[in-house]
Amino acid sequence: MAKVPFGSSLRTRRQFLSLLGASGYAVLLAACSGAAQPAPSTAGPVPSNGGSVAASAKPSPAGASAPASGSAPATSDWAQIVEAARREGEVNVYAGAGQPNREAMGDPFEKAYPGIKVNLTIAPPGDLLARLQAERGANKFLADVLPGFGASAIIPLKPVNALVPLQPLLQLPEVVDAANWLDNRLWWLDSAEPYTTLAFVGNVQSPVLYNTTMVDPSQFKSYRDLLDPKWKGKMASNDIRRPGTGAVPARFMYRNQDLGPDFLGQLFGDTNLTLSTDLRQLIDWLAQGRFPLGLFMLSGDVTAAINQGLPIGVVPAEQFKEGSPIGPAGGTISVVDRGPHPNAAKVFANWLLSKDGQTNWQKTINDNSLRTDVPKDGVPKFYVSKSGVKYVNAATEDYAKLSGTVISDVINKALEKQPK
Amino acid sequence: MAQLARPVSAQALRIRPPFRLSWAQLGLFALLGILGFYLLYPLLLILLNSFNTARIGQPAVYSIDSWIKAWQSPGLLQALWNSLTVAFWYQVISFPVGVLIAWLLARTNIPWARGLEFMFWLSFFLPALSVTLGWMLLLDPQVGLFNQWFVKYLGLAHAPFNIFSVSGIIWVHLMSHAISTKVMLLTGPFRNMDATLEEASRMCGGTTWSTLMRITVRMMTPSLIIVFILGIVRLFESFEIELLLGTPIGFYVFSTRIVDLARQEPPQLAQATALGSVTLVLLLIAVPVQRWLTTRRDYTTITGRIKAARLDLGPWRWVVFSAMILMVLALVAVPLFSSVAASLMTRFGFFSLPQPWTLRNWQRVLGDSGFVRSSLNTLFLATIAAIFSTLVFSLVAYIIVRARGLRGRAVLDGIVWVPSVIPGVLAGLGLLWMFLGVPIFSPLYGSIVLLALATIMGGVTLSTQIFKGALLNLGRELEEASRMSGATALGTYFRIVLPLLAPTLVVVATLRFLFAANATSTIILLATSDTRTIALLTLDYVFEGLREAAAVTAVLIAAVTTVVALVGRGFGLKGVSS
Repeated sequence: MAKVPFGSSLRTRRQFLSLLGASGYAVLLAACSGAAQPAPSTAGPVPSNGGSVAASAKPSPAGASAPASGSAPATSDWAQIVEAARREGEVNVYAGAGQPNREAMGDPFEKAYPGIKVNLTIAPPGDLLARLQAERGANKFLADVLPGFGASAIIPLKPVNALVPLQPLLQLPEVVDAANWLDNRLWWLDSAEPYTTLAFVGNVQSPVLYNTTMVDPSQFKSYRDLLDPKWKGKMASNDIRRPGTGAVPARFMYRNQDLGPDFLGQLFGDTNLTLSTDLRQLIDWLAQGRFPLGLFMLSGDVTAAINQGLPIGVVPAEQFKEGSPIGPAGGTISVVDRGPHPNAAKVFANWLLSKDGQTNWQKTINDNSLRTDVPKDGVPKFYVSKSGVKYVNAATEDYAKLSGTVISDVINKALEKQPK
Repeated sequence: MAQLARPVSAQALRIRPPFRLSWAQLGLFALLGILGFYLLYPLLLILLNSFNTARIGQPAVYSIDSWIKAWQSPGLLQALWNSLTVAFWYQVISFPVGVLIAWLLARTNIPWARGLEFMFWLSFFLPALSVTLGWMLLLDPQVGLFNQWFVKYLGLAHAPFNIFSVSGIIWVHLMSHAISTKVMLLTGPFRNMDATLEEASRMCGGTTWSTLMRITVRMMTPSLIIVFILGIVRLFESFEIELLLGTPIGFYVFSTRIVDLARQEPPQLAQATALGSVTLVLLLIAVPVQRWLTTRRDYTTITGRIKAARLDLGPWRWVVFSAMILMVLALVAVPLFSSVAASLMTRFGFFSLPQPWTLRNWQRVLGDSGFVRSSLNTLFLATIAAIFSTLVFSLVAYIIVRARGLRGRAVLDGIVWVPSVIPGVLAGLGLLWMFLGVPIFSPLYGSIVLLALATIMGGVTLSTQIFKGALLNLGRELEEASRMSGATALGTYFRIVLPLLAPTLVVVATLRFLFAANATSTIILLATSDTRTIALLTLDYVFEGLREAAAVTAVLIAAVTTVVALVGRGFGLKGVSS
């Protein structure tokens, strides 16, 4: 059978050269990937820098003259900010996955401030930080607000001026009034000024959970009781080398004078501890009695499991003689520098820290707001701080630097000791 | 002299035609340029950044520290050995079983063959997490239902099964996708085989078994090799099963180590990349071998004169049918029950709660303010991925297999394996860097178009290789007749080749629809609130600990995929008969 040519020949040199030229242009276009785009102007508190692709400013759907609702005071300054925010039309919120962000922030804010749409981008915080870095590297300044990152945002972003000082943005009197917050102070997480990241949740974070049908919680007076040989092989723990749940009590233990890295080493090296990164599985194991004790897993998942009727209890943190850690869980806020909607970001931050914002947050997530004027109905008792007890905030920038390499190294070395 | 007298085939001579710059050759070069850039650039960015040891936001500092640290981390070699152990047993069991089942369904007169085949498809649609949770519910040594029944009714002293073991992990892999994938991918090619070859074997005295091994399986070599390699690649990417079943016994595998590194604080992406390079090494060995094996001889099984006779198993067909029903029950019933029950339970596995059953999970998902938009986005992405993958990658495979006079086909064949080299947790980052850094993509950043491009990329390897396997079995005579009758190469492709590939098109379209609907790691860094998909919504539920709500979305995705597959099979089968 005769061979059929797959395609016809290119007949002229001109045809070939013109195609070569077109291909060369395409290659050049691709090679210019690193070429800098013109950077948008630096954002001030009022003028929006705009210039973004995915999040360009839109006219206010609710009309520019609509009066501010929510908890805003009737000052002309605040009204101007809200007005400017409405002109921006939206706020881009990069929120860490793991909590009902839409119900806790998005929907109630849009209801309180009609005309300002909340664009929620949700992913694990590590992924979002990588995305933020990549976007800024490409001169795309798209994020406005970072709730839930805590000190994880300060450590990489503050040194490169990617976070704005938050204190000047707080405008509402009820937000800046220290008397409305626990211990009469605002809970900044930065180790030094300018302050960029504020905690608004303070959950007392006991690291020890137990199966209520198998364990008497009153026997625990010290964290060192966990090293008792009778618990060997009977404890499961969240892998605290990963970010998130369990990090605050782990840092607290590392820095505590009576515990320190030696204690963590013993806990992870000598007790035949079973580690998992799946919090749900750990909680189910505890409820089924596979392990009578569970460590570093206190979170919203545990609260939900207890509410469902599972036999899980939390050993009160105040019971341990070494002290009690407190941390914000996902209840923190930072504002990004050169965000496309600076006024909307300002309104959003003030609303979230207001009594209305905090009441809504606490009601949705069941975490303990640091605002003292928000009633504690519905918050689990083990989260709420007791008067007269000194708590250690192990979520600050200084403490957060221990997570990752420092504490992970201690645990890795300890795990090497464990019999295989 | 006797050797000189032997006829020399054109294949053996392998005369390389002189290079000629034709439109077709230019088209191939253009395709190489576009696909090469699209597929290689993210990999290069990931590799380059794996040498950057600076923290986020700091100026780049390049060194090989991360690679050294990654390979010196304790337990790594054990994890690699564990992965290889699982891979060995996974393939040793699933491969012959999958091939045998595909052959039985396609080449014998077993009853209800099409229905049984679709049950294997259904098994494939159910997520690995549901399979794992389902078998945990049955075979947990303490609370597993099967174990409790055996202890209670047979008077055993101990639970006979322990799902938290290496054999448990392998069992769940087999019950998850290991066997069903092979059946799904191989039944079509087996069915398309011309029975004349097998009849000739039997006429020459061959038994059923020797005919199967020496004729059928040999002729199926391209599809078998491709399915084998895809199985290994997929195994090195999966981690859910090992995470849930291996952790309690300290059994860690390579893929879980990579995910652990990528999820640490700060993320150890460089180390994760260093470990991910193992897949690259595996493919650097496997891809040339598969190319050599698939191009050294002719594997045509589909010609212009196809005879589709089936082997009569006699009364044995009912025995085989019963065994097949049992297998299908294990493959489908357990995960299906697990998925549906989980979606209807307050907490899956806890039957003793005051109110174990509830509709609240369905109400939560269906009432979620992002559900409708996410559903529409998912349908759009999955449909685009299904259509694009079938049309474009069948053409790519056609060029690799058929365009014999053109240079660069081997390179193209190698390039399409690249996306499978990149671990899922890193692929998203590579794509993000590419889309932000390349001017033609930059204006589209934040739009659903980039999500579509990312989703399509995720299916390049699978789609192209499946088509390649099918095309290697397809005879050339029909295409040559078409060309001789004046049709162009593209006309022949659309009017002759695509209809002949109809069953494969349906398989690929269904697979791509499912994978695109479930894609998370490739798109999570590109999605915005307007472009989120159901899979990302599911991920939110998982992060919130709402596994039951996640089960609702898994059931919905499986149901929609089933409908798509049924419709596709209807069209596909019509295509074959016409």
